[in-house]
Amino acid sequence: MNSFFLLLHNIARNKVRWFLNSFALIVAFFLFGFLGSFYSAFESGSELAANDRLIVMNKINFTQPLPYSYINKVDTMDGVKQLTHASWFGAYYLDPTDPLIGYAVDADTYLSVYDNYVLDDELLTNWQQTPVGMLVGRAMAERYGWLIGDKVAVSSNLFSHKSGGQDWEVLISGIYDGKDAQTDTDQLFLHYDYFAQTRTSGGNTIGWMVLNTENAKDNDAIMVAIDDRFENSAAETRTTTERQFNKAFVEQLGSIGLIITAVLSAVFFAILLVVGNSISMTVRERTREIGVLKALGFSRPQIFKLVLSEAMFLTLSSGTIGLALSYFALDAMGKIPQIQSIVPALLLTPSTVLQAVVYMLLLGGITGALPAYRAMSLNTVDALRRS
Amino acid sequence: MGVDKLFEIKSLSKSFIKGKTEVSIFSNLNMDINQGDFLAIMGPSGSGKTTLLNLIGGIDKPTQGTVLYRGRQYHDTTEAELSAWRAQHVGFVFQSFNLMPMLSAAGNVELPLLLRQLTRSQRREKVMAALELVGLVDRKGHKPNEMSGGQNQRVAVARAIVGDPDILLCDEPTGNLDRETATQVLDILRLLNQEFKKTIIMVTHDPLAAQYAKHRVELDKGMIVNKEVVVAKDAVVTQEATAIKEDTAGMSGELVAEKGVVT
Ligand SMILES: Nc1ncnc2c1ncn2[C@@H]1O[C@H](COP(=O)(O)OP(=O)(O)OP(=O)(O)O)[C@@H](O)[C@H]1O
Ligand SMILES: [Mg+2]
Repeated sequence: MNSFFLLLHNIARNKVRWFLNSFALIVAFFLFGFLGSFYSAFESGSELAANDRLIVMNKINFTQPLPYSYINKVDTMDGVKQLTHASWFGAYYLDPTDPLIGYAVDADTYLSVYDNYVLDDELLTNWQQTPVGMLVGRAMAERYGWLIGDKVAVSSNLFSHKSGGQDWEVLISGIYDGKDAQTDTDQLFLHYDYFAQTRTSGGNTIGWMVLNTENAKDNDAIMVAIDDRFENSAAETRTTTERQFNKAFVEQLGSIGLIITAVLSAVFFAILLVVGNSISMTVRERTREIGVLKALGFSRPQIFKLVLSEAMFLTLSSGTIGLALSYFALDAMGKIPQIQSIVPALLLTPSTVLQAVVYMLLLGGITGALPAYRAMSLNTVDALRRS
Repeated sequence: MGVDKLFEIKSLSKSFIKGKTEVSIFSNLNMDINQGDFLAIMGPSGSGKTTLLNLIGGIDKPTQGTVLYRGRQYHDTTEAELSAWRAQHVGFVFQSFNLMPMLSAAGNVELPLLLRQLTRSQRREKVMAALELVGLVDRKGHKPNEMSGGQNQRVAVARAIVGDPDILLCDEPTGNLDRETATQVLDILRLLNQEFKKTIIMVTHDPLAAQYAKHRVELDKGMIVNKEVVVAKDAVVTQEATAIKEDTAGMSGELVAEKGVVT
């Protein structure tokens, strides 16, 4: 037996009450984990799109190409920090009915703009220095069992190879991971140079440009400046922030977020009162026992700790169960295709877990501190006289 | 050789505030308690026996006067120091056992050891030794409601001695027991006093219990009205008591509660 056992013994005394408290907390933290994750999954699309990342595409629509010469023209404009470009490859592997997300990109600059793709420097260099090298995401590599050094042929449903057919021989030379779970690792990247030199059509064009700015505050001005620069040219541009894509969506979510926050606050406040009350009740019932402990030589801090840890144990254990349940619920829901199409990466995020743990500690601390203080301050003689 | 004074109670007063009046329980009480004594405090209900015991045990504070433990004042130290002192030196036995209902006998006995830096096996060893002494090893897994009153009180005694204190404070330890089980508990107390040299201060109404003590004081209306050396039925005690008695003229070894109190 140890102090922890003593704590369990106090819990076991009134199982019904403990169960009710625990149940309320489990429900609350389940809701917290579930709603919080749902909300952040909705939001993550816009969060992932860095606010200082601008996309320059053809004004007609993004399937229309831009002249290669635009790269240098935009790159040298004021406020542009890093610039890269990409072209839609129209990729598939073996099965034409299963299109893949694949781009031809500038290997030297692409990953400095998209810093949420993670691979070690050695592999990055390897890819950059292999003209026929292909970078693939972890999910895609695992799906096809691709390993570094594998030679494969990826096909395009848009372009033809100069030597006939629509296959491009590539060497898998890098596999990247996502910086976080929401990063898409089901993509492939070819070298633009290799692609441009071997295709029969498309000539000296790129799909679109992506750039970082020095300062997000100047984005509006820079966007205007870029589009002005190419006004009345053969290929006019439209520049937007990545975030703008989701803006309308996010604005709607703002009010959902508010409702979720309001509901959760109400739940937590109610629980604070209920759990707080029942912890004080257990202390009141145990007055005499606390007197005995004090007579045995338990000090004030020890009594305080005993009661506080009971409250902490209650909120931490129940909260953890609630969070675990929300994890499984989210996991199950995330596998449903219809839901996947709305919220692609539905999962319990570390930040939600962290927040939940902070709330558990707060709840435990607040509900436990007052009864613990009262227990600690009990007059031993009076407590012992209580029958 | 004189006997060491364990406690010196000096002009001790205790009163409670009831409404607007101060009710005095006792005032100017003087008494020494020697190391190794087995003292019975008797007296009618409300005479302040429990209060006196609580004061000695340091869970209550005197209104006036002092109690010295081995010559040292201890009531004016911090509560933390008093707790630590109790944990090390004092064991309490209560009339109503005051065991934790959900803990087994062994769990209850182990409680005071949680305050010590001991390993699990060291604690276990001490718990078993204490249970052995009160003859309840075979009951170690039983909860209080699965045992008789006498067994519960023996568990309480084991809890009081498991930390090897030098003082046992017992408040009517046999108050809830029948004669036979009371005898078992008292036998254990006598053993603890004689073999393990524990100083025992026991509040009791029970003449049988008082028979086991070496000395007896009677409190009434806040005064020590009577003090005597018990001539017990036990031979060893009798001899020792007689020795002390003979000694009284020369040494103020044992009880010096001279007409305890001036009102
Ligand atoms: N906290 C308190 N407030 C007010 N009065 C108290 C308090 N504690 C004890 N008393 C009073 O002090 C007197 C002595 O109480 P105490 O419990 O010491 O008596 P006792 O001799 O142990 O009695 P009993 O034999 O019934 O146990 C009683 O009249 C009691 O009502
Ligand atoms: Mg009493």
